[in-house]
Amino acid sequence: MPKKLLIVDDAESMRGLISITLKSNGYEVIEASNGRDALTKMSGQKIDMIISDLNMPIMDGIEFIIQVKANAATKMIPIVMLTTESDQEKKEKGKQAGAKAWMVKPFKPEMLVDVVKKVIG
Amino acid sequence: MDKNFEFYRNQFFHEMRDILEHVNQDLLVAETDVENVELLNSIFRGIHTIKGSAGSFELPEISELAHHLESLLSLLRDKKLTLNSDMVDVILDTVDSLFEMLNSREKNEIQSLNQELVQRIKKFLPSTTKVETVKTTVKSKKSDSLIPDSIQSELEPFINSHKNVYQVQLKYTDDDISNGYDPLVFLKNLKKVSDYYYANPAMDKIPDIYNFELYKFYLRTEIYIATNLSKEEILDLTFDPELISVQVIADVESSQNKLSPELLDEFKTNSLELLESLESLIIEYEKKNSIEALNKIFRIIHTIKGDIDYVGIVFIKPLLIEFENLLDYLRKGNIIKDKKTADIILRASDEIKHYVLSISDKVKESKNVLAITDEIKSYIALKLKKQISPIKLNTGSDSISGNPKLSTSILNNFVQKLIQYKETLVFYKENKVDINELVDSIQKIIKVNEFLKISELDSVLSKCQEIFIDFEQNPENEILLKKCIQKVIDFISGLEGNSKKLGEILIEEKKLSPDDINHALQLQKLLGEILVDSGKVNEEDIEHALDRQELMSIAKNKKSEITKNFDSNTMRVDEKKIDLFSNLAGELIIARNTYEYLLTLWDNKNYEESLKLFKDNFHVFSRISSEIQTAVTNLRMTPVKGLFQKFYRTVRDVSHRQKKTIELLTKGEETEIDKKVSDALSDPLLHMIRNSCDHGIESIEERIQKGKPEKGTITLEAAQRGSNVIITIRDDGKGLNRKAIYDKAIQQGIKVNSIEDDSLFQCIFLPGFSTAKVITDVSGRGVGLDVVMTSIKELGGNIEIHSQEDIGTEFVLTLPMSMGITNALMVKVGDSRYAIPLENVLETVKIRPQKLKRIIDGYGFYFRGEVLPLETLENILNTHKENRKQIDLEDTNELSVVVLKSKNEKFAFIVDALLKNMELAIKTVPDTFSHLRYIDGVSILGDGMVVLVLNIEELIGE
Repeated sequence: MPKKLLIVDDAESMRGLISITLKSNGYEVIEASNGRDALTKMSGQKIDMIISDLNMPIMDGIEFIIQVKANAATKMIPIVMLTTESDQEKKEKGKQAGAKAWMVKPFKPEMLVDVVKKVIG
Repeated sequence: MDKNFEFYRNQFFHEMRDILEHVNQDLLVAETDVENVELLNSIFRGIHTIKGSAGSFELPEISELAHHLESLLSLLRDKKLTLNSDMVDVILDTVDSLFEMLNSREKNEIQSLNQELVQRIKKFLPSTTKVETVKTTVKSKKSDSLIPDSIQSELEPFINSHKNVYQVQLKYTDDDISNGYDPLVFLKNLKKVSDYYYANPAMDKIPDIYNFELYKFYLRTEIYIATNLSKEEILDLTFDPELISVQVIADVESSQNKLSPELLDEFKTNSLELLESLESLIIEYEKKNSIEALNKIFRIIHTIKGDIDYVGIVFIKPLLIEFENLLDYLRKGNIIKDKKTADIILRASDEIKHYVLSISDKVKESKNVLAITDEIKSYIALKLKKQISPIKLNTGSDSISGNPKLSTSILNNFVQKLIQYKETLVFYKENKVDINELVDSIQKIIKVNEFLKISELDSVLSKCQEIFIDFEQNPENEILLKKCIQKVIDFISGLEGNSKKLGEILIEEKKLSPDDINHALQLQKLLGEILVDSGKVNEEDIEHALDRQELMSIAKNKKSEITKNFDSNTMRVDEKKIDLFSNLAGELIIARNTYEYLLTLWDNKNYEESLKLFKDNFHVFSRISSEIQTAVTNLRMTPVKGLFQKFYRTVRDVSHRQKKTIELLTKGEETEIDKKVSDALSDPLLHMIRNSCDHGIESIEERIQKGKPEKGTITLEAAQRGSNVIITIRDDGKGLNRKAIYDKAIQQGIKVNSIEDDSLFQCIFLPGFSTAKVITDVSGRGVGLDVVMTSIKELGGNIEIHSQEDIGTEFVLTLPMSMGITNALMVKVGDSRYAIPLENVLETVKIRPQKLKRIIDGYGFYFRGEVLPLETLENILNTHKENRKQIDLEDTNELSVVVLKSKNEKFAFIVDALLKNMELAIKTVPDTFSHLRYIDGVSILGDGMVVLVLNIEELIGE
């Protein structure tokens, strides 16, 4: 059974790129445009991993991570943050909240697959 | 090119020269103070900077030479070698070579690396190819404690087959587990890449079910693996390297090729910079077919190739060599670019980049590197075979074009090349090389022969080419080829060691007349000089025959003294001086604004007050302007230190050569002097110091005999006296031979005072006064002392000599501190005003006409016990003899007289009126008037009037 990943990013193009890359590597992908949207879409789904941007409208990545980690049902889902070089502070906050893995934007799609494989195999 | 880039590039040249001069000085001190590590450090840093900067500014040859020097210096610094005078010689020569390279580059020329010099440096370096035998057993013994006994025997074969063995531990926290990061993913991946995998589960650390907490991480396992991967690559298997720890147990290659982390870091940064620029160059080459881009690519690869030797990353070397070959073929046109070329170059450079990035603390292997190396190799072979026919066509057309006459030394050079290539042919005959290498050599010989035009060789070679075309189709070809090759070999052998024969051949071939050869033989100069001097070869022809760069470098080989003669038109200025200017400019603006205000005051008819304020402001202005003037003069002033320091080297070299011990002492180095004067002084001073070393200081034996200290001393001293700078060159040598000079002077009919008077020594500055046999046995070389005197005079200076036999000689140079601003006496003649430089004015007097005496057809008068000739300035300047003004001896009015002094004479001018002394900014006479020799320059007065500055020496002469 293919692994299911949740992509949270407000930029449609970015989501598109990530999702195409992952799908072509045999993963199943759900897309969400911000934290709130993501929380809604997660309910009732078995998610194997979350890839989330940090800067998003409505609910940003940090708040989203905190919410995911606060919920016992979703706490065990590993999260990879998408950060930029200037996001150091947010990255630290995300780490404190329980998201240990991150990727610095911009990245090549293959690198993302590499990270996903390192986290969930 | 980008303006900014140009700017930084110019600055770079300045910095580099500064550094090199410092290195020069430090080195000379270091030679006498071998224990001084700080000095060596400073030298090392200097060269290191040059290496790095030159790389960034795309001057690979400089970078490379600096790199070799750096390797030597680093050993010295680390006390692995001790500095001796041979080394100092090599280092100094290298510094000189760097100087020359920089100068060439500044003129946008390239001087290629002097390989001979590199070899001389390398002689001091311990050989890098020391292959340590791998002592694996010792290694594994050392790490015994790490490996559990149970798996020791299992791991042994892996260690012996040069696998890396690591112990890996998980450092996942409980939090990581509870947040969903599963260590098993990593363990699975790790197992995949390992040839041997053993996990010690450490079950005893896992609590029983009652105490077991769900999200706690108990799996504190130790994993032992044997793998090809490096430590970094293992760490890279996780998304965060902090999650595991990797400990090296046996790491065969790293112990074999342990790289120094500092060196490696440096190498990485340098080569990555280079490699990054590579990509755009390759694209440029692909799109525009730019040879320049190709050359740059070649140089970059060449530099990296040089570096890896030094750093010790041997694995990648074959790739770089092949890569360089490919580029070289492309450069020389042996391989013609096709669609695949750029692609293969790009991929090769990518692989190099990846590899360089991936090396950490040891040399490792990479399949990709091997693959691309093979690919390039086969590509070269393929292309070379294919292109035999087109090249043949080229040869045909080229040989029709003009055939320049060659001088023998050029020919010799080519014959040397032929001999080199001959080796390959011989090897081929003995079946030691494959056909591709042979083809390459034949191509090269053809190229050379295009230049030599030896018809015998030509026919055989074209035969060879014909054979190559269907070489594989026809089995007989091999025998045919061998026959042809034998002919070529015989021919070349005939040339070997017998350049005369070559000459004869060429005469037979009517390529050269015997005169031409004789002429060339007489000119036992270097090839380069002949190329330039005789003009018998033009550059285009050379380009056809040989890689142009190679020849250019030979041409450059003539020992130029660019370093010393280098005349830079820019100068560096102390920042404080600039600050002063900013302040003054500020004040100037304020004063100007005050005027604006004063004018409104004037408009309001407030005359009295505004006049007072106007006067005040005028004083402010005059203060500012005089300060600015001083500052400008000051700006041009540089300490003589820079000038003096060059001479340490001179003294060292000369004393070494002559086996004397001479010490140079400098004093008053902080004395400032106009940069122009300083630049112009360089050569005369050099000559005088050489003289002192050569002729002044005696040999050691002689000194001992005379009871003098073994070590001779030359003192170079600068001091300021008024607006003059006095430079003294003093030696404690044998002194000038008073009697010999006196006799010689009498013999040549030179008027001299007495034998005791030091003015006698002025004779040695006279042209044609041969001092060679009189004063010393060794005759001076280069410019004579008369030239020295002329240049000092040109600067408005003078030289005095004091000398005492066996005590020493002293040359005292008096020079104006600055040029440009002169104090002058203004005089009036008719309606014009003239300026007479104050240094020529002895006195001004007023005398009654009655006191004048008629002397022959002029006048004279008594002046302090002497009779001085006298003339009106008007008459001297007036060229119309018929309008000469007569002096009315009966006139009761006093005459204004200026008493002047020149070199040897005194003279007096009558002028209409004496005006005041003024500081004048003198501009040179425009070219159109330069034939008026009695005019030194022009200046503009405050009221806009132009005054001529008189050249008194010339006037008196007339």
